[in-house]
Amino acid sequence: MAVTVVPFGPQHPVLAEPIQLELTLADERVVGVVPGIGYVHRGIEAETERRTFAEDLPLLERVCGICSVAHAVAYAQAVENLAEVEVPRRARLLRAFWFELTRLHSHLLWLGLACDAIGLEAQFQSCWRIREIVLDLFTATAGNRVIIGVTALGGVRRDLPDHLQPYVRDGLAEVERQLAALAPFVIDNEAVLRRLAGVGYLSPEDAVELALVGPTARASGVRFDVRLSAYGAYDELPFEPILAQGGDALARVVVRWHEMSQSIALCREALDRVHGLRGPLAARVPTRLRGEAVSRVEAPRGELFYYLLADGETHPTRVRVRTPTFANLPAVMRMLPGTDMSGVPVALLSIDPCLSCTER
Amino acid sequence: MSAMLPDTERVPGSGLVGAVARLHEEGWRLITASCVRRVGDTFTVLYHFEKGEALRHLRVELGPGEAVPSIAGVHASAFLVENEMIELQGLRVTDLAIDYGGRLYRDIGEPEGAFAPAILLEQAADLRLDACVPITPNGREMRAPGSRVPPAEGAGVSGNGHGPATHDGPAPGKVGR
Repeated sequence: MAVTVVPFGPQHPVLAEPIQLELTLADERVVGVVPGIGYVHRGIEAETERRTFAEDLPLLERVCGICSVAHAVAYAQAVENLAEVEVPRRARLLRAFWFELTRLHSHLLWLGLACDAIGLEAQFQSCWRIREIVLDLFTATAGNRVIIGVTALGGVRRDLPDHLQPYVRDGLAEVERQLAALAPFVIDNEAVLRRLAGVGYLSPEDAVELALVGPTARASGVRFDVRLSAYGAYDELPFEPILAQGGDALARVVVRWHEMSQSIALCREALDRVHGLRGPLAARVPTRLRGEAVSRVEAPRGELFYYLLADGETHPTRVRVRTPTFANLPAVMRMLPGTDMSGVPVALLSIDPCLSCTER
Repeated sequence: MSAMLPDTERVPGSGLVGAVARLHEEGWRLITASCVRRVGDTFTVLYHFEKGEALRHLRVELGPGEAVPSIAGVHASAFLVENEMIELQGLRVTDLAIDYGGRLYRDIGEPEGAFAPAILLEQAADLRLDACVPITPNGREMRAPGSRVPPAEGAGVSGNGHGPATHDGPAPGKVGR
């Protein structure tokens, strides 16, 4: 039996961002994996130490274009925890609204890429066409398509006026309608089932042992979602994590698919509560802070963790960002051995890797 | 304002693995570790854990030159953050499960980082692959000597360790494409 080490990546047709897997193959079967990153490291953590707390917010929003709201909220929460500031209820609800829209567009983007990777180009285009509706909602409510810059330290910097709500609700209904029309071609598609079932299997024990997060963990039946900790407005929004038991690439598709419907429902719940609600959009945050704080949010790919250290200056002493993909990357070392080489791209894509996030 | 993180336990470096193992047995999940490099090359390393919605932290204070043991024997996924702390903060970690040799965030051909441990390019070349490499019973069979390491100087040499950028065929010594 020939044993060969093959570099998978850093450039590969299914990868939107660069990562290298050092695959050890026995004939066509993977027997060992070592992930290699380092192609898009930007030193953002170090850069935060040279800027004020307020200036770090737009910088950290740009850690990732897809989940910029998640980074902004996680960082803002860490600062607010440090300053012991209470965020107004209206701001917490608006954050949850934009956060769930972010999850929706992130899952649609990923689903499109996943369809493209398994040869379903029409579904790829459909997913991204539906995503455009979400981006239109961002434009209407925040003025930008992707990095929307709505989060402020202590709250939000933009309001969502009541007269915009019908437009937003129509958009959400249209996304829902188009997803339902797409379902027979993706989630109920025999070709998709056959292509994804059994690929990249992770047992519940693996998911717990490797401390996996997000849909990757929930697809293995692990009931872990930071929203259960009731941060922000999730203390008043009805929420139950979506779980699947399959543990394979198909289960990850199913979890994300149902999470899109859940995000639409959470957006509506937030809109219901914001409607007619009056009050400030942000609380005042001191410019000098001292102490340590941590913050967690449930980003589209899973738990996003921030550690913040301040020594009484106008800038942080240390900002540590642990992104969901950083936590999920070790999963490839457990799920790829035993997989045929042809299954590696789909298995890797099924954890929705975001390397810009991971390397910061 | 807050001072230190609540639910933080101070542990010496020598007691870290035992403390982590105890938390592991109690069902605490490792979130990550955070390393702070202080003036005078002292370090604070925080290990963050989660169970349910609760958080706990282990704090290790290290003096100049002191090392912290790897916890990858307890939490297998810790190898990435441990390599990151070595490379970005200059922390010393012993008994690594996977040692990227200071090349987690740097590819072949990149200059050594300020805190990266000294490493020969020949060793670094073994960490990143740019072509299929057959394995012999005695281990990995390297290609022609030095083929993975670009010359230090000279025109037409790519900066990524993949050899000269030429249209005349594969780089000297490359095999397996």
